[in-house]
Amino acid sequence: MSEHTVRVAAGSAIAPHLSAGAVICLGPGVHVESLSVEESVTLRGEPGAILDAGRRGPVIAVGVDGVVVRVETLTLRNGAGEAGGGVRLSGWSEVILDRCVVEGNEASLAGGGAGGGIYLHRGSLTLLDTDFRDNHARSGTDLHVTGAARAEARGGRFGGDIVVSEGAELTLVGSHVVGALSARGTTTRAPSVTLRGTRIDGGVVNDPNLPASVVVENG
Amino acid sequence: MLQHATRPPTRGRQATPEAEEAQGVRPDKQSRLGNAAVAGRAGVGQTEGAQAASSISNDELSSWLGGDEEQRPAMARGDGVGPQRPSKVSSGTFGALVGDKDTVELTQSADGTGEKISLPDGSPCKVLEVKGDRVKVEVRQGKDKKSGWALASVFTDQPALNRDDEAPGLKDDFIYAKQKGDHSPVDPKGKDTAQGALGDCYFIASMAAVANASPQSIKEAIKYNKDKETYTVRFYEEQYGGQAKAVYIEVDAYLPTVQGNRNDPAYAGEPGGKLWPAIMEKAYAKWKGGYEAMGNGGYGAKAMGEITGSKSAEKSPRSMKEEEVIPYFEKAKKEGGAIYAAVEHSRKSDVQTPFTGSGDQVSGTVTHGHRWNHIVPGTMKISDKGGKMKGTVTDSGREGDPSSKLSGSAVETGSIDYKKNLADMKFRAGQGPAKPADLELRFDYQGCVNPEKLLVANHAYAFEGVVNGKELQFYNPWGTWQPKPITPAEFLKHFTNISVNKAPSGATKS
Repeated sequence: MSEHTVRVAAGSAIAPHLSAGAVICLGPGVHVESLSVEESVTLRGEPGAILDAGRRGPVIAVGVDGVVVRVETLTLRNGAGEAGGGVRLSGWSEVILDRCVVEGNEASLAGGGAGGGIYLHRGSLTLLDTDFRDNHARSGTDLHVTGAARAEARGGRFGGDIVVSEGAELTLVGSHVVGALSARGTTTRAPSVTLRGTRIDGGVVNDPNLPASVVVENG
Repeated sequence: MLQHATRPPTRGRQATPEAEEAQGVRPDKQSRLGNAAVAGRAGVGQTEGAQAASSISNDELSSWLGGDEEQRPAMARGDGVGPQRPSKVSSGTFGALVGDKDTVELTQSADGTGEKISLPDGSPCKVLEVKGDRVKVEVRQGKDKKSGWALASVFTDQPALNRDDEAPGLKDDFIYAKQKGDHSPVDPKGKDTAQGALGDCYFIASMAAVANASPQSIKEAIKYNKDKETYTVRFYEEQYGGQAKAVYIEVDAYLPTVQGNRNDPAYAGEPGGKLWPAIMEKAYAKWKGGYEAMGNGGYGAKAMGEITGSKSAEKSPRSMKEEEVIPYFEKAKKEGGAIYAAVEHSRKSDVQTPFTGSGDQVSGTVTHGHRWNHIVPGTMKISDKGGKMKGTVTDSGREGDPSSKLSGSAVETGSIDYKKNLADMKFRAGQGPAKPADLELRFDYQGCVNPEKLLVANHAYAFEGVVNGKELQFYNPWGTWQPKPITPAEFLKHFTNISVNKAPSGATKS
């Protein structure tokens, strides 16, 4: 996989540049596109760069296995889908959001909707100083981690709620969650949550019938 | 935002226009704890690795009742084996009260004395407290919650119902009732599925898609246990790394039914129709923590994988050209793929001046073109183009709310009923607009993406086939409002994702 850099100005299509190893620098302004990423790429936003899905699907969807998608200094907004309006990770891949903003995204289907900002049921997600605001979903307005997925956030502010379910794992280090963090297992497995130096204004909702492992290390 | 139209128009409720536009609800924030309350590890292992509870044995029952078997009521209503009873009951557990008569009785005191409440047999409940051989339960009675004590032996293990759209503080007003006979699938088809009063179209469409492509997968997944009159449903749980592990969930033949008709399933299923989808839905709900948990949201690609054990392949219609659409579907179907597709969100914005009234009191009805459409909660913004009213008025509704306050510095009281599209405001003295027509309302709405083809926004469909080599036929998991065949251009315009799941070889339709 050879690394190559391309700059895309607002108004030009990003999808044709999503080849393995590409580092795609997005110029300032609004890039209206819903991306389905199938190769290892880096999307790097220049100051003022916004990736806007125009509610025509998730902003970024990763459904394949074995790729690493890195997103830096970019605002992901106006995504919409049945799960994961901003980012949907449904493959055994890795997604990293570094200093991004995930805002105004929505997950909705049949009266439900999981992960307005981000949804994943496979693979791993790393959030570095990434903020969430004004995302909407019935379950996990900002983030829903489920299945056997793993997610870790370092820093960052979640303006809404987080849900961790089934056998998923979530670690929050030095983050601030304005809403609640809900953890719920199934009759066959329990999710695992680790909180280090993290503030959760809405508290932790741990279903007594299908409890999760919640470890708090705020000392 | 939650869709009015993503629940079936007439399933599980009265068939009125109001019911057709029923909204769902926000998550039930049960058992909310502060950070301090969860320091350390919280209760792991109680359910981990556990399978669904099976019917209680006589020994277990005797032990549970403290050996006082005389207090044990008959376990069935004379129509065969009774429901599943848990080996132990703990507070916070959901279930239903099933005895041997048409009604079950609660008393105000744990010793069986005090005021009595009579409930229909099969009433759903939540256990609040356990004392000896009795349980204190919370039940719904009409539009209220009531609590009282019942014999623990009438408590049955059932998935918690969904929260009532029209009374968000309550669970649905349905009754668990036994559906006699063997309802395991014989010749399953996608058309057997019919979504009920639950926002789980992702799961219903997944069952339909798998049944269309691989009926054997459905047949093999549901086993009827004649002696116990229960069903064991097999799902697959994907582990980290991708391997699928089979899980077996046992459920009895008691289904939530509409008040007044114990043969009309409230969620999946129709009276007189095939009930295997309702059995499978119930098992999925039990596995995932209740009907509400499964109705909160899901993902079709994942659900199909949980039914077949195979990973779904996903594709974005954005990456397809018009001429590629028909060959893609034909190939996927020929290869035995169960095909699931979801329709876009379709949110649109509008500006209206709907208000009339006098003095400081105004009201107005918002319109949005099609009865399947509805206001997106949280998007309303009212301003005074005449400039007299200070600031703006906004709604604060969220997904599933039936109504919301309208708030602003000039407003004394205000509300929006999202189902009736009716907004009311009373302004603080002298702070309203010069005239109601000056109030300009901006809002988003959504619901119907293509009225001619009957395509509903935010909805999942199961693919059925290619029609005349040039159009696609989808199945609406409502079981009604079936879409007309759509062209490749319409597919690319309205659908946002496709998932294809190929069942393991040997299970596909020949």
